[in-house]
Amino acid sequence: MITHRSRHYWVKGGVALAAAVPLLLSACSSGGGGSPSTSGTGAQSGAPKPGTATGTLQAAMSSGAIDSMDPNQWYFAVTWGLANAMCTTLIRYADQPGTAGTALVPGIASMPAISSDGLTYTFTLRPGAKFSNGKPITPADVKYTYMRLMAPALDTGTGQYFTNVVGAPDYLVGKSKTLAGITTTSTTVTFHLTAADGAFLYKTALPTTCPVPAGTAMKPITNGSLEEQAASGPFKLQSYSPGRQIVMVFNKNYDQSLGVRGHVAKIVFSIGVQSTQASEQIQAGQLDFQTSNLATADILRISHDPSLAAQVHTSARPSITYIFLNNQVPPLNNVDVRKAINFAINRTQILQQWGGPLAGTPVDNIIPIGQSDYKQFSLYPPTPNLTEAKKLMTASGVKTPVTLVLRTQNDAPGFMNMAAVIQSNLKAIGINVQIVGTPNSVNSSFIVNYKAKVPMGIEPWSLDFPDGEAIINTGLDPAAPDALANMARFSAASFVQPFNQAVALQGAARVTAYQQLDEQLMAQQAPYAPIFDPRWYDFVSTRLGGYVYSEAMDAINYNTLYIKG
Amino acid sequence: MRKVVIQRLGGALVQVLAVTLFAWLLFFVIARFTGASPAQRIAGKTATASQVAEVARLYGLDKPYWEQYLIFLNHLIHGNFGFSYVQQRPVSAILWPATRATASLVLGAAAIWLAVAAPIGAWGGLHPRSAGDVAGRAVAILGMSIPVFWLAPMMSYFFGYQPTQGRILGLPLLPRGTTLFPIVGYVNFGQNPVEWAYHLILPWITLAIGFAAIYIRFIRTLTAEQLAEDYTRTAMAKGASTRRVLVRHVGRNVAPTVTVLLGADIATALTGVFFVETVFAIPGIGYTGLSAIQNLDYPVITGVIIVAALIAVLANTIVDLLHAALDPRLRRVGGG
Repeated sequence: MITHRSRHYWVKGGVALAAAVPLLLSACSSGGGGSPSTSGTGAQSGAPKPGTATGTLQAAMSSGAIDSMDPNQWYFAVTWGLANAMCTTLIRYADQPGTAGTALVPGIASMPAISSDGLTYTFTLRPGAKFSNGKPITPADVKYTYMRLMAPALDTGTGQYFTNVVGAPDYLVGKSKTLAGITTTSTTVTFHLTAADGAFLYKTALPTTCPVPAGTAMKPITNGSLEEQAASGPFKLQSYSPGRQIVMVFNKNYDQSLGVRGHVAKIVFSIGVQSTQASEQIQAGQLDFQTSNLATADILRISHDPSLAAQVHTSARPSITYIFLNNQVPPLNNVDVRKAINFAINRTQILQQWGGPLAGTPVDNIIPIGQSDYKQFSLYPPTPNLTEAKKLMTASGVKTPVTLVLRTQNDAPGFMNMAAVIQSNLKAIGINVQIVGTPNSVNSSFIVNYKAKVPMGIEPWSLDFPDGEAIINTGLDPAAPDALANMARFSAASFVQPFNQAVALQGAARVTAYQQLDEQLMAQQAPYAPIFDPRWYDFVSTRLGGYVYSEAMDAINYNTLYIKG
Repeated sequence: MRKVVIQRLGGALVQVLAVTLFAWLLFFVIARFTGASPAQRIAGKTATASQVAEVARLYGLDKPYWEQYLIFLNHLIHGNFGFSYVQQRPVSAILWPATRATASLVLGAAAIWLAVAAPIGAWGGLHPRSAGDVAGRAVAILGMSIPVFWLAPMMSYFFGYQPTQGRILGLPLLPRGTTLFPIVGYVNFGQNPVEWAYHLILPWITLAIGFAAIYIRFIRTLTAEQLAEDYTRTAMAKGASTRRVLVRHVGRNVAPTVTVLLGADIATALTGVFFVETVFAIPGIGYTGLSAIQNLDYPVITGVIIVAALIAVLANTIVDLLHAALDPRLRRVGGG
């Protein structure tokens, strides 16, 4: 059973949670009846009038889906979905399906003026930007928000994305109490960078940049009070009962001139409902949607029922599931062994444990399918090439058999099954895999720990923003092999400069750079064994209109939902 | 009797001390030996330095172990199970409603399994090897064989979900959209007693089936044994009715043993509620414990262990005292 959709928590002190489609049936599916819509709907019959918000939607959420209710801390996909409804960042993602939803549009500020050297970004706040208590959002609030999310006391991790801001390195570690790199006037907020950052705009749309009033305590506030009083999106929090229920209501102080959003009066999330029971409730008309991914058995059942096709939505996700290969642990410090593993694993069979073609696509890229900087290559096959794998093992000079630990979580069914397939695959090249399955929270504490020297692990990863940097630089920074997110402990010196160059580029040059980095990494170093890119598969009630899956948030976009008349 | 009560309560106190010592050792001493800071663990990964320092001060983590344990006990006596930094509220505020939900589930299920097992078991004992007895035993074996982790989703599916699709046990006998039972959910008793019972019927039955099967066999065997005793045959020879023999003679001898078993089984049922609560989304102790493990919420995990153990100790103590009240022979043990 799926726990919840989430992104890997790469940040300092973070907890990794998997985006997962669970395994209940490993049976192969050849597709299904009906033809589900791809994510999102445009205009539908019964669409609401702009600015109206009526009716109550009922939703289910698995336990553990909420990591924090502090707007500058939240990180899991489910909380990012909530953030998208209760926050408006300086600029935000368009409320559109598919890749159109990764386009940036004005939020509480207009699109910024960027200096020619790419070192200064000036945002002008738009009239109408205010908190749910009616108070206007000021540039001082915005600056304070950034100081709060970067403050060591909150330890949000996403603060690391702003290390290029002047003064940030000292501020982030508590050596400085001020942040000179953000300046304000009565209407503007300006960011001064020390180096160009081609993804900086995406970073200013991160949900953790959700504005909070200046003076908010510099400590985590997780009881939801900030979302009640200081929401800035079309919804605000009405009540939060941890482990039981979240009630979100339409925010009457949200100025629709910032974007027409929010068409239901209330959304009630019941926490702790299992995915299968939630699917049954949706089919019974007792529930409108769930934030968890569907159980594999339910995907198969629903996809084979043509009468349910109109209630199904699928989409590519900005995610990948891969095996990290610790480049510093013998024999994985031998590149031939890492390549041999890439040739030996059966990606198609592993994906079957996850739900088969309905649930994902086998890949050997690091950058997920659908990203602008994704370019397909075929270095490693979807099914094993044992001849090549054995040749590489021989060339490596590594004496076999050799035993290696593979860590994974055991509280979402698909992971242990995938580990079993990998174990079987690698035995063929003389690698005895010892599977260590632990609850996700425990597993995460090991794999992000540099000192733990975890040889291999199965990891899901969702991109924090739609750009190769969000996985290449974040997950494989060769200058920081001890970084929590660098679970492969990748440290190839030859890649330091290309990484630094790519991150500063903009536009087409940036896209090309990341496409090349993706291929070079896998061809020359193989720090990962990519397995598959998961797909989003959703099942909603018949009365739910305006469904849009937000690729940027990796969650349903609540701002477009309405109840069909 | 007073001596029995004092002895039993003393025993319960020792058990409670042992349980709390175990929980304390688990999270305070072992954590320290494994290199983790207990204060950091309790405060959680996202805790600030000041929160960690506050936890250390609260638990006296710089003091000798014996003193730390006494501080821990003192907190427990005052109902202070600590603070969940994950949920940002006192652990007692999390555990108390969870305990009530679990108690609702377990006690209701116990009432059902006793109500079902007593007449069927007694009838089987009265009519051994009859067709009804054989059928009853077959059903009992089936009931014992069904694991609760399988039964719970099946009950939810067949009696919660399928009627909404116009089916009952797979047969199209109902109008589409019929709701016999909720698929999942829980309503507090204080909020609406009728809805409380309505939402618990399927979970009660799910939890009760396995135990009812055991009790049917147990009561049948006890009844048959008692009916073979001289005193019951004498009573029958003297013209006492079957009903009178069962109620006045057999029942009095069977009840204490069943009561003892009930105490042990209420504790055993706490393991079963984990699955039932998860499937039916009942926010009880099992569900809370699972959620706490997923979030590495150590204070709540510790609290759940202690509360579950206290429920087991309490159930056994009450049952032992009831046993003594029901069975005069026990009251005379030790000359009391």
